[in-house]
Amino acid sequence: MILKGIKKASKLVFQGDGSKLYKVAFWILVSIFILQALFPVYWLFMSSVKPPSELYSRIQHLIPRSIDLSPYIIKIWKFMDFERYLLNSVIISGSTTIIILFAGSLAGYVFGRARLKGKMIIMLTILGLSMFPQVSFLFPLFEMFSRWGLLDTHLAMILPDSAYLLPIAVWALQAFYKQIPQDLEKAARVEGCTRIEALWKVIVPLALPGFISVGLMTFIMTYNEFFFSNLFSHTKASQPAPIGIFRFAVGYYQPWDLVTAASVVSMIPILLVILLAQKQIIRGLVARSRE
Amino acid sequence: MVKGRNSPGKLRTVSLGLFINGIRGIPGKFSLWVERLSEGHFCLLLLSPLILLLTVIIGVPLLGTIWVSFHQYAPTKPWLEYKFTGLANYISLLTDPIFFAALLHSFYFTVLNIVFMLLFAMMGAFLASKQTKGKAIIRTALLVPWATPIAIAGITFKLMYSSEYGVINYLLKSAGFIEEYIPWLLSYSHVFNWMYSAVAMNAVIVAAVWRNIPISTLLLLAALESIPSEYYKVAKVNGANTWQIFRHITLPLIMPAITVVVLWRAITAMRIYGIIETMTGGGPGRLTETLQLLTIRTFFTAKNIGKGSAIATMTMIFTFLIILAYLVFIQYMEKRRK
Repeated sequence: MILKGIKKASKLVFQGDGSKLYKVAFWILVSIFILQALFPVYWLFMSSVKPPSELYSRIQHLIPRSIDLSPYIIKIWKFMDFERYLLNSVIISGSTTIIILFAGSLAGYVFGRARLKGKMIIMLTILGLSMFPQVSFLFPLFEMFSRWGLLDTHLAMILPDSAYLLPIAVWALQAFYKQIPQDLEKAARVEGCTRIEALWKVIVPLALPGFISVGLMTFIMTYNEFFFSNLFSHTKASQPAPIGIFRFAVGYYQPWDLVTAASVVSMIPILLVILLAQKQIIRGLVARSRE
Repeated sequence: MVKGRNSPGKLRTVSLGLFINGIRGIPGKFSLWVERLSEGHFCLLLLSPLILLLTVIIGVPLLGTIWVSFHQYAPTKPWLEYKFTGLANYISLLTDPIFFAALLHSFYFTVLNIVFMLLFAMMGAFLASKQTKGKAIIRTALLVPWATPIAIAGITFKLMYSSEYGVINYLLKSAGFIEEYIPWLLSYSHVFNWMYSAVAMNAVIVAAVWRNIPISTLLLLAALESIPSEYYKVAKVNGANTWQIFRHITLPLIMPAITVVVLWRAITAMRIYGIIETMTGGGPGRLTETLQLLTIRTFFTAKNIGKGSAIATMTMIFTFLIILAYLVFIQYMEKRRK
């Protein structure tokens, strides 16, 4: 009932004849929506530049009265070794993205273009595998990794991350492959290209925008990943940035100035990527579940 | 010393040369070998990295979990091998009120998460679809919550909910809604009469919804934009009012997208972990402990591998049912499209 009422009201607002009231209501709704999306991140940033006296005060001004940048300049590098965590993050997300793009582009080609019996069943099985919660294969994986001595190394996160995100990436990539006309490949084969040449010189360059979308999406999702990195990494030798920050934040004493500043720094690369490539990212996000 | 025919230096050079030649030949030979493969084998070759990765990392451990769930195993007592105990783990599970509490928490979380997320996502999608200016801003703003790492989202909300220096308490008190600062994430008794004992859970749900809105909004927006504008024009010419247009044109056409979003969210809500772990760690007491958290606690804190695997298997079954519904729905859509 309420849902219908809201829909009705919003519909009335949006399809109005452009009178002033409608416009005002529209922009109020838009600003509420934008505000709820941005406020937590805004608050994180504001908390990170506050001096401790304001940070730990009962009275929280929406705009800080004074600014203290010492966490950014000294503290997070000196007390946290934050550069180490950032490096781990980049290594893990970068390798995962490369693995996913390699395995995913080959598999996506098969699903998007080749004629294969039972293709749909294989695709659905693969997609189904990635939908099971991570706990359903957590413990045997943990045992395997501890026997192979992989715990607390980058590989302990790269392997599960790539396996778990691969099906979604394949699903998105095959949608991009499907858009390439079938005749192009046939023409290349007639001209005397080998299979690998046709794939590498004709299909891959045409699917490149798709690769970029999926690559960016994968990079961000791996960077944000929590489950495997929380359970498979124990020291700063392998912990990615968000996990390192989390471990700092759960103790009895919570150094919020350090934690917030480190959080902001770890979000900067991601925010930059988003601002520069939001179109590609949105295309990737939508493509993966269009099917 | 003069370098002779068989001096080690020369040998090394020669063997290096041979090696390089060998490497150079590999792509060509590989390419030829690939040419001779049948279509099916070629597909299999292309699929092999995917199959290898998925089998080793997900497939085998998945079966391993099911296998262990029928056994007793304690890693702290290595002299005890895996001992077959039949259904003992499941029986102890089904007589355990903690399991049912976790199940209830998961269910509560899933339902509320979906309802509020859908409400906001619909609103956002309609707002963005109606005006080009609004769309650009909303889209950019939307990607921010999606790109916030789960751990950082959890930490930020924890700071905002703080009972001593939290901005939410401050704002609510300044506006006169509350008299005292509320320890949102630590509340187990009722704060308001209608929010009995679920304060911490609701607080977590707010954070989860915040992070889940973007993807749903983008998907619904894509669905909205794929509706041809002629439909609206024809409807208007024929004298339909806005509500009729929404009810009979927009809603049926975006219903598939809504269903996908809801099912997808139901599947991901089954594996909710990060946001709860970072905000409350399952506390206060066990009031925000969902199935996924309970499983991990059973593995790593209680070190009861058999029982943990049994819970994981149960979670798998629940997820499987949702996935089945999802797949059936996809098939149905495929058929309808043709």
